[in-house]
Amino acid sequence: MAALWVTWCSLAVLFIDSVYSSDGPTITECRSLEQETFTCRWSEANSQNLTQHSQFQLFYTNGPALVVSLFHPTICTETGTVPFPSQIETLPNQHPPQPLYNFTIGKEYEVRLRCSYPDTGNFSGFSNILKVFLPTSQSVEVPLERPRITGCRSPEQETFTCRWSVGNYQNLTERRRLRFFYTKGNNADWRECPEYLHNENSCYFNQTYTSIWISYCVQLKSDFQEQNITFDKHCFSIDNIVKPDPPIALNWTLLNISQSGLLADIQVLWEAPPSADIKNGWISLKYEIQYKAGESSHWDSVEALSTSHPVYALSTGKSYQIRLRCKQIANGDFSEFSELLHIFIPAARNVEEASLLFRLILVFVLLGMSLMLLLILFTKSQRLKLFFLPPVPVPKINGIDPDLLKKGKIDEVNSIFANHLSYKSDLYIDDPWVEFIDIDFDDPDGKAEVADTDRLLGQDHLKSNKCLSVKDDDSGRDSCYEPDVSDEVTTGKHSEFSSFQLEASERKEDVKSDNGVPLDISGADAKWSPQPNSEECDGSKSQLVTTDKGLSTVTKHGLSQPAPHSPPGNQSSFGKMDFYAQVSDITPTGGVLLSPGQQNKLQVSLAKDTSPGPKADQKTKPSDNAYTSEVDAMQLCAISSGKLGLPDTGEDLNLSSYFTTEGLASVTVGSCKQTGNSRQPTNPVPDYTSIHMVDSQQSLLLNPNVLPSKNQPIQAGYLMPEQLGNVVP
Amino acid sequence: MPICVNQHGACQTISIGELFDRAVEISDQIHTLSTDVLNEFNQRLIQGKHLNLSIVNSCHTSSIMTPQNKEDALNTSREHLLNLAVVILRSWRDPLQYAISRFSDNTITSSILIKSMKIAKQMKQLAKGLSKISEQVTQQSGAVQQTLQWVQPLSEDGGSIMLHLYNLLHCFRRDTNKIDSYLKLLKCRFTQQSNC
Repeated sequence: MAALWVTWCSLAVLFIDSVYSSDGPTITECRSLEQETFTCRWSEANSQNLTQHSQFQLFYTNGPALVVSLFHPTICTETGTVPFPSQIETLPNQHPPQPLYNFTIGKEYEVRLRCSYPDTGNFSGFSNILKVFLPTSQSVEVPLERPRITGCRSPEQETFTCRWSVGNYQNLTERRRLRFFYTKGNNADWRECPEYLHNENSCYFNQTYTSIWISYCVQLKSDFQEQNITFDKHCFSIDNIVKPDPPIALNWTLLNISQSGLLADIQVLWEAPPSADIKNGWISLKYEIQYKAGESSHWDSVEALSTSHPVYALSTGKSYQIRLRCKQIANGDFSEFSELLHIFIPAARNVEEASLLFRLILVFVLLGMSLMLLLILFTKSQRLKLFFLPPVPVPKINGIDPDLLKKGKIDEVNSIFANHLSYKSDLYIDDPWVEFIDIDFDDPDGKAEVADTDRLLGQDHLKSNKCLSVKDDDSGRDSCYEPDVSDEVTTGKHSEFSSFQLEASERKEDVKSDNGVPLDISGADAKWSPQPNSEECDGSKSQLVTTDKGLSTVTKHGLSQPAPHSPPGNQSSFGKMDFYAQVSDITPTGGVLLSPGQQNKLQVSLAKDTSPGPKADQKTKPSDNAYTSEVDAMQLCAISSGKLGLPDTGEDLNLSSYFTTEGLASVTVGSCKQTGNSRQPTNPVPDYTSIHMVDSQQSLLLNPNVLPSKNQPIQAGYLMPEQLGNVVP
Repeated sequence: MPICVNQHGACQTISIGELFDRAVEISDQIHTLSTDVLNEFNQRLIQGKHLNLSIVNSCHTSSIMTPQNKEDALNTSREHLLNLAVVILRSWRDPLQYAISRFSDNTITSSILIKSMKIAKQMKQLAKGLSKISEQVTQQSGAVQQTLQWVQPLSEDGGSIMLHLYNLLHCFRRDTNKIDSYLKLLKCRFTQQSNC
């Protein structure tokens, strides 16, 4: 159906076309030039039917239809090729004269114009061609300027003046034949300027000729040789061209001076321009005060609505300049600036002296501070440096700061540990017998250090016990043990050589998270070297995996330098294995005897945790060598086992970061037996005693079943838990 | 006679001077806004083609005989001047609504629309204020003022609508300036009779 319709349409078009074919004349266009008349054009046909003088008739109706028939041609259409213009410039609704830019000198140009109504797109035909030749610069001395109207201005909305420039056309310089015309309102004639001011090239319109709210148009014409050229044209309305005269009679008074004498407020006074009729309300002005310090180039401004206004916060002792200008409210332009007003507020003498003194003091203070800073920075004394520039405390978990241990600040550590139920801070203070194991933390390169084993076992046995070998890849622990106690080692049990490492490594995350304290006291410096028992070693787990560095790193700084007596070269076949030993006895010379004990899978963490506690606690020797007492170790062991026995009392044994529950739980300590008399190394002395419970007074109640004989004499440096009570006040 | 603002309770009198102050303030605002609207319209829609002012001169308020300079204004009676201001104000109500509706239709920048609506609001305020003043001045309330009829132009193509709007805005700016000047003159003459 649609196809049929399309076909019919096309046929119809063809048919119609054939009717209005090129055989006959066609109407090319209808055009209106000024919207008052219009013209229709048609083209002659090319057919041979028509003679040359055939006549055309044009019929029109006011309605939609238009019928054409033949008639005598009265209008010839314009044909011919039109050279394509190289430059087209659109001048939007401008009146002559108009400048055209960017012409090359020395070339000849052809200029022509055409026009159209603003809202329609149809252009008229082209005007005549104007030939333009721009001579080269040698022949042109001065650029030609057209005369033009520079501006019209009314100062008070009652009269106005228009100004123009004459330009430098040769024809005009001889005699100023410029004439000025104006029209007022719509459809009026051009009238000449009522009052010429020739010396100023302006035209003045007084009150009789001035009407507000009516549009004026002005023209600058040349009458020379009746050429009647219009040089410039301008239209405006008086209420838009109001530009007042500047204010007059500037003056100022001092309002007040600040207490310090540095700032002052002033009141600026002036008068409105006399031409403006403020009184009647015909003009209402607003003002702008601009001021700046003498040397500055930036003007600050303040707006004012009346003829006086304060200016605040001017510095005394400086000279200021003030100028004013005004403008009609809601209309018009700003006036020119008034004359400058110079202001100088003298500063009080005492102010000047005070400021001088102030400056002197400031300079001295700065000098002093810089000197001190230099001194601090470049001083060699670390103490002074630390005093002035203390290190920024890093966040850490509540626990022991290795630095504290290093410095041996007993009190702080005490306070830290006091929170722990089982910690008796003053436990060891009075006991001169107690000496402590010197515990060292390793260098980063743990491999260079000797394993604990070496120290404990002495050099002879170092190679024999393979089960002590442990991968010490990244455990940075060293252990420094004094070799001179090797002969005193009675028990070579290294039950301690358990899988401390293993536990630690398993739980390294746990312990590691407690960033603070890490105490991986991997090296238990002991002044002994226990002899390992190879038999017992079989069962020991040789997977003493190295703990990660994290555990050990923190501990490095914590403790003191490794004891110099440790033989660094002692490499044992045991490898680097860290373990903990139960101290069974402390010799009067300060050596520590390890008890063979049973194999304990005491947690490294536990041991670690335990060691720093007591270690930090002691202050019997204000030396950097810290020792863990046997008692401490025992006690803590007891705690650990006690915790095992009574997992429910976890809250009592909340030893924060030192004891992780998992760690403790995993301790498979069978029993903590107290070490017996270490003087008989051949007798296995129970290492740990299990704690039965911990009562509210923070004393430990040991499992009586496992207790060794209470009749055991108190050895030096050896305390039974139940004997703690005797010591603890 | 002071005007009674609060009819239901204690009467609060507002002086004529205060009323005129407020009226002048509003008329300043209206004139500033109308100038802004015209400039923006010119800039954005006519694209800087500075239309010859002679084309756009046929303001519908031209038929109202108003004093054209200060002398004539001073020679006009106060009441008549006030009346003229009111008439001009009222005669712009419809054209302004037409302009606003045209602005909403086209994709005119919103600032022009916003300002125009503000102008309409202010015009209402000013009309109220002036009617209060004239009540007080002429001792008559609700006097019917003559208003000028304004014929909405036939809807034509977009280009001529723009021209028409430009014409409208131009005339409006002129008339707001006229009202502003008259009110300032009247303010002086009503408050300081002798001094002006």
